[in-house]
Amino acid sequence: MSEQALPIEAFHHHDEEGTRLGFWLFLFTELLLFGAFFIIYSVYRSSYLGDFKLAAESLNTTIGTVNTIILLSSSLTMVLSLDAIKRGASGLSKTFLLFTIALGTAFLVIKGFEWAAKFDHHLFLQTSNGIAAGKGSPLLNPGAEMLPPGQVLFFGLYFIMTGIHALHIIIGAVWMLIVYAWTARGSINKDNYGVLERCGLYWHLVDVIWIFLFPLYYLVA
Amino acid sequence: METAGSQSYLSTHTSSRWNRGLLSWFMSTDHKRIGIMYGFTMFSFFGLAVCLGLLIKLQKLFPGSSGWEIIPPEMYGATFTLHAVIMIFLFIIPGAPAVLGNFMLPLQIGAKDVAFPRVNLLSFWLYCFGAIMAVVGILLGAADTGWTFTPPYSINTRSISIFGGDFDSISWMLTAVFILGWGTILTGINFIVTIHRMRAKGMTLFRMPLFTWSIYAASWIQVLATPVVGISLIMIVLERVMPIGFFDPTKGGDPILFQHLFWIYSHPAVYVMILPSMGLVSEIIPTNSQKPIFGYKSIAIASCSIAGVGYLIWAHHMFTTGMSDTASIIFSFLTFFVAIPTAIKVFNWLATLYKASITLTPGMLFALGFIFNFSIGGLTGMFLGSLSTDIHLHDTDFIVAHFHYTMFGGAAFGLIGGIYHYFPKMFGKMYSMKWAKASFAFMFVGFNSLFIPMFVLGFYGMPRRYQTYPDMPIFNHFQMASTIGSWILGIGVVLLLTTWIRALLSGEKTSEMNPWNSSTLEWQTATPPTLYNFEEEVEITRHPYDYETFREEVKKGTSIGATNE
Amino acid sequence: MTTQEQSQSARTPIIVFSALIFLTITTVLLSGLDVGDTGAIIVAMSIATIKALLVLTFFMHLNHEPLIFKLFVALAFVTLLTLFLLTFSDYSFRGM
Repeated sequence: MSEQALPIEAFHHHDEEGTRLGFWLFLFTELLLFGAFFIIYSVYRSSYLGDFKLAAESLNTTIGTVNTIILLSSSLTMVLSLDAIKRGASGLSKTFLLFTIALGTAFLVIKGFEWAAKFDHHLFLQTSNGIAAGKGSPLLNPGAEMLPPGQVLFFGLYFIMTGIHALHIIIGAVWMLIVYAWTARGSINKDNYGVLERCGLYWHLVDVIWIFLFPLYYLVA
Repeated sequence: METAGSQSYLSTHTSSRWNRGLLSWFMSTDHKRIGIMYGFTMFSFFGLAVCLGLLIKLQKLFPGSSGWEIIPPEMYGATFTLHAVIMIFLFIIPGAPAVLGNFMLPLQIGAKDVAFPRVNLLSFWLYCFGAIMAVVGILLGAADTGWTFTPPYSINTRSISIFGGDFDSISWMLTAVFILGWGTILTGINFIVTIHRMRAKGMTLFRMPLFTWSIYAASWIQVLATPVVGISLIMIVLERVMPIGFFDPTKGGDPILFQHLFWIYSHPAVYVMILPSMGLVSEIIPTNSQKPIFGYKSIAIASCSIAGVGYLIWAHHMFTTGMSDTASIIFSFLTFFVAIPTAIKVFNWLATLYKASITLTPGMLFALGFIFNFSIGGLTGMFLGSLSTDIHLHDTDFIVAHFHYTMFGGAAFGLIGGIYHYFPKMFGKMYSMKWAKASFAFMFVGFNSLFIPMFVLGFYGMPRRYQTYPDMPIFNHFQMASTIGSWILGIGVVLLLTTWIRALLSGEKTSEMNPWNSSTLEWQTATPPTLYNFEEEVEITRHPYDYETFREEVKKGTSIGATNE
Repeated sequence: MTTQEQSQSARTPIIVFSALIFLTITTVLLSGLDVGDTGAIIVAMSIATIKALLVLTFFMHLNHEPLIFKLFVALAFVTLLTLFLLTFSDYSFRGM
């Protein structure tokens, strides 16, 4: 019984629960990665309490709240999309997926405007001793006011943390586009929706991280 | 009945277009091939870093006033940085899990492969990519921050390219370490899922061999600690290219915070290095004693508690940094707890040896060497964990000797012993016993004569990372003893690598399934293992180290691998 | 598939979503209160933790997963919490 040699993957029965377990482990690495940021934030907040509160006042709570609601809604549509595919309604699933992508994009657009406003106010890339590059530099803009170190740290952290969060939103949105195409092709269906499920888990984790980012930057002024 | 799965994994087996020559290895998702590829790459880097280490020791032969200069002062920092970065990030952190974990873990639990074979290959590619980046980066730019990248020096220093001009080799290296980190994270995820989901029928958690247990504990550290250091290193890169000052005191940042984040990973990481080697020792000792390991459960649980306690003690690297005294006291106190599970293991190994009929195979010699060296390394760690002695010994050669005793005399000896132990199973070839034992003798003697003098030097105040030292008898004599030791160790390493290469090229072929007569599952299959590891579904009915039942099974011909013979 | 079943399965996510929105508005409104700095952090972080737990349990379906998943998630969060506590064993006592 000599037979055609098969690639080793062919001998694996597909273990959906195992794959999900592995994906959760990957999510923990994301959690710890942001966890390091939260540690840095807390340490500097405790050292520069006044500066952090002052700096946080320049962030617009309304925009932050709107973005939170947008992201929570996108999580809801993601759940509904997975729910639809489990019931075999691929069309509905795709619609909800599109909603999720649209909400994610809306989040990014609003974030983009917020960032742009901060750039205009010279709140980025500025250091207390005036040795700085970028648009906000007092060297380039002699009129710009100097920020104390605590506020520079606040805005540095704000840009890095929301920036890396936004990067995750972009990755999630691209992934959802792929999932959309696969659903349209039929390779994601009632009996095989693991990819959509994991994409959803990723999206919800990004949401969880925002749930903590939001009060730390917008509410504790 | 020649099916694809019954061929040796070493023969060309895929039907894909990647079935010729080296590509059939580089594109293979077979855990055994990936393990061997890791082995070759890692030990090449090991050889390179040993040469750098010898060079460093040669420099130390001459005091400053002698006029002899092997490494000029401005290159000395770059030399030990390169030595450390290669040894730590490219050799000992991937270490035993990458080589023997990949190869043996599925065999030990009766699985056909790891849970995500393609992710496993991705890990290896990330490792290769990161390794090339790190080595190119440091060769072009001569970074001299040490492997700890401590700011503010790592933020402010600018390295000069050897080809002239500015080359930011520190950012390169930081990014490379970040990429290497993702390689080990993915390996860790793979192993945890494999252990939870792919054990053979009857392989309960407490029937798993101890090497698998130690890999399990180490994998959790890789998953939960690596991201923290990854992001801190990326923040250093950002600080280098943008004027933000997270860790730069002139911009309001706190450099000690970086050290916290760095050691949150890098302290548990030393257990990523040592735990798998402890697991290998726990395999080698019962095999060569032909009796059950003493206190199986306590060793398994000790592995997990070492990993757990390992999380709580990172700041004992930072007693002299200006951290708060309260924190120093808490961390010093917690540090002593890690000695408990470690000592449990050592006593269990010794109790296993008691009244056993011991065979001194090369693997066993290295395992015994491990126990000796690691006991010294562990006990001197207690000196350093005590606040007052640490003030005296911090940043001296004493620390250098301490961590070489744990990392080289411990982790690397364990890994080398493991490779000697599993060599015939992996390749179906046998090495020369005489050469193998000679390599142990030289390495053991050389290692101890290299590093014992460094304890004394450190005690007398010889700082680490210094290119030179004053011309005083106490320094001269011990430095010379240490350098001569390094030559003996060098001969040992050359013997080691030649023994392996000779065995691979012209070693005696063997298809003996179980040359050391071991009772664990990985030996109960063909040598070298077939592509799918086991010919039929295996079912486990006994404890892994139950030698009495094992001998009965072999006599009756009912052991798992009996059909293969 | 009847409409009743459909609305049945969509009910839990919508209830959870409503709770999340309610908590978001609550936390914004409460941030206006003057409860001191520590008080504000405690309030904000408690509400955020409840929200995160809701997302983890219902949106990420941890409630339907086997015990091992829950233990793993608990392990990850306990690790993070430990790192926080031990780091602050330094920063809470600086300069003392």
